[in-house]
Amino acid sequence: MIDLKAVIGCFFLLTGLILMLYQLYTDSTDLLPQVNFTTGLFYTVFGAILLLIWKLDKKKA
Amino acid sequence: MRLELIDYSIILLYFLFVLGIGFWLKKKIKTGNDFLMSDKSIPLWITSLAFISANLGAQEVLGMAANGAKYGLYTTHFYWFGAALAMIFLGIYMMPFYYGSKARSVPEYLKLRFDEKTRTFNALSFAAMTIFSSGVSLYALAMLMEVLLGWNFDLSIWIAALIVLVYVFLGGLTSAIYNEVLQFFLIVLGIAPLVYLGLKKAGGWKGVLQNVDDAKLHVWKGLSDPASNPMGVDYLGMVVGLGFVLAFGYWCTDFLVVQRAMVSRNLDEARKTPIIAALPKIAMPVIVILPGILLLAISAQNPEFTLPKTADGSPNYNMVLPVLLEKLYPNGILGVGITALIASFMSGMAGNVTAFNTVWTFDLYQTHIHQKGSEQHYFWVGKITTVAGILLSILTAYVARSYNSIMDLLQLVFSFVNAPLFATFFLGMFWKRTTGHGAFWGLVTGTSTAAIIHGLSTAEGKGGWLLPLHNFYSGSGQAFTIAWIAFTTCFISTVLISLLTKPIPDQLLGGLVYSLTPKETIRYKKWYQNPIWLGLAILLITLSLNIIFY
Repeated sequence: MIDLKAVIGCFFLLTGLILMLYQLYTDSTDLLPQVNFTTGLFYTVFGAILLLIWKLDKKKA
Repeated sequence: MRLELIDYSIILLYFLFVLGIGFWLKKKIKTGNDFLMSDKSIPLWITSLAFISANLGAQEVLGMAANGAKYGLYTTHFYWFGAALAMIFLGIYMMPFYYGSKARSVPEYLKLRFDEKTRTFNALSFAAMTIFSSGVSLYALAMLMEVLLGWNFDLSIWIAALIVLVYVFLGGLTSAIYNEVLQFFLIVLGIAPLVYLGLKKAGGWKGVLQNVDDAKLHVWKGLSDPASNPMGVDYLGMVVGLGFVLAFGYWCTDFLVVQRAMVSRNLDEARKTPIIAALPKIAMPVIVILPGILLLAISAQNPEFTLPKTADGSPNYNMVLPVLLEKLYPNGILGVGITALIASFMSGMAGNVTAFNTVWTFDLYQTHIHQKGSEQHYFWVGKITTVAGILLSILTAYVARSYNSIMDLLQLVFSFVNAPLFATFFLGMFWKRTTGHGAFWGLVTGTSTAAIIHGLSTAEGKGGWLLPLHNFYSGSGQAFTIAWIAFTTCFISTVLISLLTKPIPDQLLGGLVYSLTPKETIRYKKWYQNPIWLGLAILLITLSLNIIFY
């Protein structure tokens, strides 16, 4: 069976990276207050945490 | 609203993941049991999130934001009063019977507890209801995309239906549940930034307090007089109608949500599923109701945020989320917001289709058409039913487009069916003297009473088709009153008819009725592993929220 944590983690990691790169491409100044960059950063961290949990679970099993 | 390449990329990424889950699960789904019941192998955290996500469809996401603007904090009664109590009750008292009886569906429990006619009545009304809801989700999605983005109505319907069909057809219930969890995170994380930006634009909570009518910022104050609260409801309607009858009727008996708990790995997890789900459920108003209240505060300071009008000149509350998305989200995150809306529609549709195929296959096809088929046979019946369910949903979506008033009427009829159902289950599980005839005729009487009361009363220009004897302040007030009267009628008729008919022998009721079921005692290492303590903790949080926002 697939691990849903990994799937959701991947989805948000990719979405977050897309949003951050888009913000970098359109406006590279004052990134952090920008909605796309801030939200993208949050999604990326959230996705990475889920992937980390999945990895740790896999190791334990 | 204009989408750019970045927004389309995010929508496409979501579609790829959704379809990927279906393809990935395809190899694991081999029997009817896998396809329709997920082989009872889903972990607790997934069943819990799927439990609330199955309900997080279009009506919830768009509808509750609309209610937030229309009724303010009174809308939280659907969460902090109705849903929380009902979900805890389901987990502690009712789940042992659903799960312990080995029933594969809610109608099948009715067969085990009562008789075939009660099961068939429930299965038929439920099957019709799921197709109707699924079709309405599809229609609403296509309408919204047409109005907001200028997408072609037919193309939106067929693409959304095709995607849901592919992932449900390949992975069955497991695929629907997995996607529901992904959709849950997408909806929450896709709308959360909107709430933050909305709060900032409104001037924080202080700005909300200054710019929104005080009557909309309370949960209980003003309920003593229906004319003095925006929902037009009194204590009786709110507490008994919504809090008890409608909420318990929906959360404790609707197979669409109960199915998510029934596929748990064991009884303990099945009991914890709705209780754990209650925790995110009570936080959900921040995502689904608060945007409506924020829009009121923002539009009082910024006229460009004013809601568009409907044909009769009143504000079109259904446009709350679209207006906020358009005005507050730049391209990029806008794609995530639109994807969240699409996800809510697809989640609602897939949930209904999977519940429909289980009820059709087990409760109607296997019972009345082909009783002794192989596992493989029912596997294929489930798959074919999925295709039929999607096609019927598409048909319903087109009917909804042509005859809007027929859809209103159908929705009403279904609410008549749901209201008395909880009385039947409640008596069936907790009073061993309840008989099959009592349950069936009680349901028929309760449903007919609901229809008659609607015919004798009006609200917001609707109802009164028999004789308009009474006018309610609002449609909600009418619906809540009809609900508690239908429940009471069903309850009394069931008791009376049961007493007049032959009782069911005790030996046939073990595991189906509270007093005849041995109580299992599990020793938990930590308090929060015990469903009862967990339920009490959630009740305490809910009570605090009700007091804070009194």
